[in-house]
Amino acid sequence: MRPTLWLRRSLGVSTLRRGIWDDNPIYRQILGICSALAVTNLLVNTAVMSAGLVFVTAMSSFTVSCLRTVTPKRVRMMAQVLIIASYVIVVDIAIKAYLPAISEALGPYVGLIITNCIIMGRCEGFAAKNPPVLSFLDGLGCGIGYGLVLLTIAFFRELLGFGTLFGAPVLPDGFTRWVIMVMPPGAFFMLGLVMWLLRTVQKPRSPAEGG
Amino acid sequence: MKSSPLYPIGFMVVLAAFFGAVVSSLALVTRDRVEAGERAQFRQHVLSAFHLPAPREPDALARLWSRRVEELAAPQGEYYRVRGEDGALLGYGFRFQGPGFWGPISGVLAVKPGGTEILGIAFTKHQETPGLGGRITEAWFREQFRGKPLAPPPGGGPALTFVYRPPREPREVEAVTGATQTSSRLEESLNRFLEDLRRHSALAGGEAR
Repeated sequence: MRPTLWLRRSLGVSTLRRGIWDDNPIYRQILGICSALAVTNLLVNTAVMSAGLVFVTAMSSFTVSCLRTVTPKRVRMMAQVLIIASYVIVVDIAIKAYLPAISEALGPYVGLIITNCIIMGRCEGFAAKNPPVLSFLDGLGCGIGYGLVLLTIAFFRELLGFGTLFGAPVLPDGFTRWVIMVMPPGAFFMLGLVMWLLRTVQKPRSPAEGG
Repeated sequence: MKSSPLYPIGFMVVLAAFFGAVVSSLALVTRDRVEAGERAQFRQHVLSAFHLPAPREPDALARLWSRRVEELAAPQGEYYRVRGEDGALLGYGFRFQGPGFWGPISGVLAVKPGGTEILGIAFTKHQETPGLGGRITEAWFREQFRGKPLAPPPGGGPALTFVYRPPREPREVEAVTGATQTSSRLEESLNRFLEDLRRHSALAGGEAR
């Protein structure tokens, strides 16, 4: 069997790929938009936020899936929130203990990972009905998909808004900074452009799917 | 068992107890580390308000702190007496807190002995928008406070004025463009703090030599 064929057939890989590309949470499911707008004007903040979300989404999906047969239907959302919140606190504590400078820069954003719809969306939509390893991969894929889109947006916002990348100046001093890129409208423009671009690129792959 | 009406309650209790225990023990295990990190971070801010280089390495920072800084208590709260390399008094550091746009802004203000002139400022905690209000922590903004007078002008009015253009007067500070709310709240609370500070025992009394 050719490796590419194997890659397409493996359920794990296709689950991972779906989150990153085919059914990306940002430009396909339009979830997690609030944080995509809020934290993307500096690459460092975006990277830490994305790493935190990858961990929380993957682990929450895994845990929810492990407990899916014993969780009573009526309290499943309560249980999911509890699980997600615990992982978010774990991330918050870890950043505070080992990266105090980043913790100061991110301020309240880490705690707000809990309000990210992607996590609960994956728990409800996938992990509650699928086995743990697959759910873990699904969460991982969606987290990575989210992170890649955010980093793309942050790259252009920081570059044009501040003339820097990861805080290091890269554009000449004479460059006029696009202040709008730093502010919320810049995030809306960038997000719209990214969605339009990626959905256009993607179109031939899924002609039957509606917008 | 799963059909019992008590099952969901039992399930949630067990789940909450388990995750509560995990998170609490993690917090306990890392408590010293988190506190040490916060303390080091705070000390670096105090030193930066005095324009002193703060070592990143924890032991070096602790040594420098114990040699140069005295932590003192006043009715208004804790404050810091900071000395130079030669032991000469550099000034006093006072903590302040006021409203920002998204949450409180707190920091440290360094004042020259005698209490007439600001030496520097550092912001220890804030929740302002990164890249907008959050820019108050950047050097260009903080540097403007160096040498500013504590007392209001003779004719009355605030000690400091925030302006949205390059400053022309000695009392003017260039505010962060696009962060009007952060700037105006900070301006107001800093002026109020400076007014209270002039009555502070460390500056008003005979201690400030």
